[in-house]
Amino acid sequence: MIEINHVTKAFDDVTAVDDLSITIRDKSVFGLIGTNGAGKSTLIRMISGIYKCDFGNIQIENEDVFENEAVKQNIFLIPEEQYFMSNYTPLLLGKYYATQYPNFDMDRYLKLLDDFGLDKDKKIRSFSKGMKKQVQMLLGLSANTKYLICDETFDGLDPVMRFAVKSLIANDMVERGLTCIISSHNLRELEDVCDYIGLLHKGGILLSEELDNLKFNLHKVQCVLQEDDTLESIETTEGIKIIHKEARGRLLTLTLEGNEELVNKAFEEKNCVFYEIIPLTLEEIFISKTKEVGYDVKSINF
Amino acid sequence: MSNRLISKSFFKDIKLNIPLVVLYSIFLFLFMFVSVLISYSDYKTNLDYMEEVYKMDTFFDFREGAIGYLSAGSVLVFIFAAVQAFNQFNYLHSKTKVDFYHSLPQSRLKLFTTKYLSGLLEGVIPYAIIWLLSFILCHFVAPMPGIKIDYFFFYAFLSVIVFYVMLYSSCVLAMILSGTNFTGICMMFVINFIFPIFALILNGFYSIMSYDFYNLYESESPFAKFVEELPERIGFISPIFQIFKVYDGYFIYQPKELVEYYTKHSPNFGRMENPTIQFLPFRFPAYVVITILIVVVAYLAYKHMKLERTGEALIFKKSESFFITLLTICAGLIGCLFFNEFAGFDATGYAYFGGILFTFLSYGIIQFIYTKDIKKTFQRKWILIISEILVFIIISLVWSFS
Repeated sequence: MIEINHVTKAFDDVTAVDDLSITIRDKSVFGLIGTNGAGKSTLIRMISGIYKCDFGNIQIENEDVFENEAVKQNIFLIPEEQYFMSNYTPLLLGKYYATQYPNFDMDRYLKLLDDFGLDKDKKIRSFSKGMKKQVQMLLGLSANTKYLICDETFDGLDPVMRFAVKSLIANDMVERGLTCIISSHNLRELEDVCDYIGLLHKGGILLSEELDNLKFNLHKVQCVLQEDDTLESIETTEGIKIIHKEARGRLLTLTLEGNEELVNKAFEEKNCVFYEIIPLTLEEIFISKTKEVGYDVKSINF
Repeated sequence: MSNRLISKSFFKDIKLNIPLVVLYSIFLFLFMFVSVLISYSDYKTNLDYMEEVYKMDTFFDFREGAIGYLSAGSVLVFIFAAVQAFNQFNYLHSKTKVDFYHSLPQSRLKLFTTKYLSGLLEGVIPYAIIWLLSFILCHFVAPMPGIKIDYFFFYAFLSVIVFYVMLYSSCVLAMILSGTNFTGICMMFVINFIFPIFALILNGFYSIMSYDFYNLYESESPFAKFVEELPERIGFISPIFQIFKVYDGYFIYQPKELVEYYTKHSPNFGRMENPTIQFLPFRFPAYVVITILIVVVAYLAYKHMKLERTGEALIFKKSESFFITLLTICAGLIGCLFFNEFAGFDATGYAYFGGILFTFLSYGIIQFIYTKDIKKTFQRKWILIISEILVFIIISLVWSFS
């Protein structure tokens, strides 16, 4: 389990991460999302042991990560921008990582390279961006670490490769209990794979919970109400909070926080002309949650 | 957890640098071994030189020029020290490379020792091998009867190695303190040349303090003497200063046979003034201690550096003010000496003017290069004020003792 306890990190005058606390459970996929400049990459670098926390600590199985070789042997980071040594081939790179990670499975790595159609003896600098990402991903999976951290890794992969990689991750989770932390702006992609979501904004955490629970408690309702004061009565219903409302004529689109049963009951009781509960996508959850804290594109002239 | 100080990828890291090391070795081979070979073949075929060749002093001169301290090979070794420091530690100036190396499961100590030793061995081993081959060629292939192996000559070899290690270590420190490649190179110059510049300034001040219009350099106050001797006394802390001093001829090894030969044949020859065979061994412990101190400081800086400052001019923000102040004061004092040189020794006003002007200009230039924004040039006015005050005080002190 990764425990991030009241972690703060500042760069000169900018606080990138501000008193952040998250728990990442084992054998799960944790999706790290956030607004631009929210501190995702900074947090990832602290979890990987690259940066030291100014305050607080990050522990894996009750041991600090920073400057801890034993703990870092269980973490593999796939950064957003990769670095490969000049003139290195995938084979040489595999051998290099094998010296660093004691459980590195060279046979598996070579097989995966073959399965993905990557030439192990070709210089990596001649690969495309997507192919380089594939190599990194295969290295990460072959390292057999307990934790795999992917910083916007999926963004450079084509749909076929993304599906293949997701399958490999799922397989590793089942077989050896891999825990994966994925940071991405592609929320549609994350929605398919993540068990937990952590939403960062301006260095702090807006939410950190199971994705299913999140969707269970957030709803989009399209409705047409009989009378104008019906909405007010719904707003004051205990256990329901209207986060966002949009009106097009008499058609209202509401984003509500609350138990689905309560929402159903509230609308049924008010005898609306029409109402329908539509599942919220992760993207919609992201927009509504960040809008709550004032993160919105205001007064743009189209 | 492994307790090893060196990463398991140590030899892989060395392999990465093979092209650079091969290039360096080729040049060393050309400058040392091949130059000895060509010179011998030239001597052998040219009968006019034969008589010359058999003279001991010619052989010693030749040997010094080919594989001694004053050879092109040793210059190449010193340059390679800076190149290797840059090569090994420039990864610290790239966020991508920092993410790669520091996400690996190795401590900073292990990373540092692996990188440091890699650069050290890649410079020392090729030089040692080629020097040895050249030495064998020089002494055993040469048709020179009566020439015996002079074991003290190994001190020249050892000096080059020691100075390589000192220079390399100070350049490594420069790279660690910097956040970009550009400031890394600048810091190499600052760290290595600040002491020689300081010595030059002190020499200039000594000239002013001891100048007597009627009897040039006759008067020597104790303070002037102190100022004159200070660089020599503490100069062992600076590898560049030591290298320059040896090139000046102060510490050149003089074998006993050569001393006797020159005493017999050329009694007025200048080199006889400083037969300093005892000087080199005496200083080696100091060099070793200084090198160890530099390496320890470099490691401590490496251990505590904040990698998030990669890409900034200096890694340790608080050191910026120190270095800017140091450079500004040096520039101010050089300005004072510069104006004094042209205006005359008693032109105190010009000295003050030069000092204050150069302090102001150097502060502006350094700040502008640092911030790249002319509006922010006078952001840290307190550095300028302190520098001007210190320059003024130093100039006043120097003139008060003159």
